[in-house]
Amino acid sequence: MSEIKVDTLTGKTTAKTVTVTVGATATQSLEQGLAKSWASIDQTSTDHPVYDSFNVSATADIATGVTKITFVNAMNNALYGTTGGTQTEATSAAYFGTYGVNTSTSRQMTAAHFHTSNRNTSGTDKDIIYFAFAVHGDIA
Amino acid sequence: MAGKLIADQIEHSTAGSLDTSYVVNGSAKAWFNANCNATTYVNRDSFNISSILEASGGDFRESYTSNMDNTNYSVTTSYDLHNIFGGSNGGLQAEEFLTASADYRAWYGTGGASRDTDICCGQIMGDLA
Repeated sequence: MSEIKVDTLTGKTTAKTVTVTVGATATQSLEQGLAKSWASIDQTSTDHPVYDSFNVSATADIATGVTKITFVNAMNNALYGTTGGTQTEATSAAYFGTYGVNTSTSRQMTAAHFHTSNRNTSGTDKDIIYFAFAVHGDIA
Repeated sequence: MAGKLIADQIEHSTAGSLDTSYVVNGSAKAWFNANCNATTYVNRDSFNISSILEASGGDFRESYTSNMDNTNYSVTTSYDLHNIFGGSNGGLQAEEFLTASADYRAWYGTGGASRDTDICCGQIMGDLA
């Protein structure tokens, strides 16, 4: 088995561009495929703490179902993709959602943070004991 | 021509080692952040997505630049539940997986009617062709 021992992978032509063979012949950007942040979070506890996380500096309890998630290293813009899921509770299902860039509130998505918008099946904001997300996009 | 390394494992001096299979299998093969409330649906940003095409309000197709190897890949999504139609339940559902594209439906309410919405995000994991 071959092994490479390095602390940093840097593209020769463009620093952030390292190409990886991911199919029989297909290649893709290593940087674009990597999640830039992820976390699992408990919204039922004080301050909505993380169970585990990557590139998350802080979480804050903004309102029921709403956690403000701040990155350690900010994204390059507010156009990144967030995906996530929730634990289904005993008495009701729940959904993971986020506030968007066109939301005219302080909860608008920015390069530095985003806000969740978790709800139950009745459309009511809901604190969820376990939800998780991943972020893909460009780091600043 | 850029250099090429062929290896089964990479190791950091302090953070541990990782089989490169995790890099290959653990990297998202596509992702998107779409504005599905625009007159013409548009991806704000994306990776390995060649186009977005609205079928009807809330129903749309994301096509890949490089096709997936099969239709068994994984899609996870998120959706802005507040904008425009705040106060309702809803979600973004992946409906049909093809190697060249996937179809999605943004929906709301107990009837699950499709609808335009501001934020539709997806992440695709699996094998490229």
